[in-house]
Amino acid sequence: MPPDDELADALHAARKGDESAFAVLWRTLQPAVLRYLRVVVGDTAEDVASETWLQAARDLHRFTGNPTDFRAWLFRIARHRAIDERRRAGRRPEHPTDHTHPGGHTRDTATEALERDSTTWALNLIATLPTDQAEAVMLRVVAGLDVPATAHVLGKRTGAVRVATMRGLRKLATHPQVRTRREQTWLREVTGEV
Amino acid sequence: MRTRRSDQLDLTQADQLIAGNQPSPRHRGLSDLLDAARAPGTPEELAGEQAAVAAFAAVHKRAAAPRGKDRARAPSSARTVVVTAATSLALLALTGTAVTARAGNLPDEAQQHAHRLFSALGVPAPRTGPTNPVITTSPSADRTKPGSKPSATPTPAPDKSAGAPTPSPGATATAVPAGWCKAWQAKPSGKALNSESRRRLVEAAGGEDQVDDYCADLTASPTPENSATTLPAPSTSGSSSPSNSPSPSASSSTKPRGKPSNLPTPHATTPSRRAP
Repeated sequence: MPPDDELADALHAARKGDESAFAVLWRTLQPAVLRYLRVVVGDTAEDVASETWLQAARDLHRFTGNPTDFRAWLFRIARHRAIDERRRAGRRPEHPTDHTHPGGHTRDTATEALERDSTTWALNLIATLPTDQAEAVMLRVVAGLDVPATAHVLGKRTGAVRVATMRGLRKLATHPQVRTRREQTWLREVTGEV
Repeated sequence: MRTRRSDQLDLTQADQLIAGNQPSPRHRGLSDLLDAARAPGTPEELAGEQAAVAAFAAVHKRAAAPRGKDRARAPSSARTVVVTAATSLALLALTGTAVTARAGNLPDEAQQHAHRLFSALGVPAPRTGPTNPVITTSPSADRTKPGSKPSATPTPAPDKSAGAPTPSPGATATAVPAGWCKAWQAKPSGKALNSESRRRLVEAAGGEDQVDDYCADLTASPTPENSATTLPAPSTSGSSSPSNSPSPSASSSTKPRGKPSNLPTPHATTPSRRAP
């Protein structure tokens, strides 16, 4: 993701209605928004993302701040739209297709896991975390928010954000597929396979 | 295999991973996972750009006219304009011209000019002559007989998406931002509005008991903003002007219904409101 100061001009112009500037913001942030929502609401991520941008467009004239603030502001909108969506759906959010098997892995499954689109694979794993950890990891790592901004989006204290992030990362580190992938990668390097 | 506590990620390593650095070979798998999660956007993820931009454009077309290309020459703050006009008018007052201008008694050309500058302060357009080329917006265009739609030309629709009770900088050239109506409707008798906005809303509607109908008409017909006016002041001549003089306001602010003589020409102009 490009550094936020590059987005400053686009943000400024978009606030005045410049469509191509808005397009820059959208292209920069939509993948992260989509992926965050994928983890949080599952298959309605696209719809909720559209609602997020629509609300952002409507409220943009009331937004003041730099691109970093904008990023946090946008994800806060996304989170609220996601919460609304979950209420509408009235059920637990579906996670992206999760091929995790409890317990051990066969090598075949692990290989399959490696070859699947790696972003989807990563999101699937993050989605297996408890919600607060999954959200913290997504906002810190994928949305690129710092601890205070993440705390603002989640409505939590910064200490809670750090704890949730750490727990999430540790849990991911010990996940069988992650460890298998680590071994796979090492093996490929050692044997010289590309 | 259980992970020993000493093998677990520590704070420094976690920060490094988040920053995109790989702390140690032991955490290579996790590092890969995080890199995959934040990999560049894919074409599939970026496919919806056109729809998103279109939605953005639609939002901005409905929003206040002063924003955007066709308002580029207008001052960004309606309040600034009014203040400037007030200052100019104050200066004019020294020569006595202002009084004449307010009464609409200047020669046509001068009156026109004064009107163009000072309509926000209650200076009316020249009485004689055809359609005033200064297209001032008029709440009367919205407050036609019940159920009737504004004319085909872009009529003013103070349809601001903001819910703010006060006009924001770059406020529209229409009489009343829709946000005021929302605030009025939200709380009985407009307690959510500040007193200035509330007064102007009541003035524009022609009375406190008219506000409900006035707002209903406004919200019923969300036509595109009239962007043709060159005067970005937040009011038509007199109808919701910040001036304290009641008479231009009262006579210009169209009574809500049943007054055909107040039905404006498509370019709502004061001459119609000063019809004999």
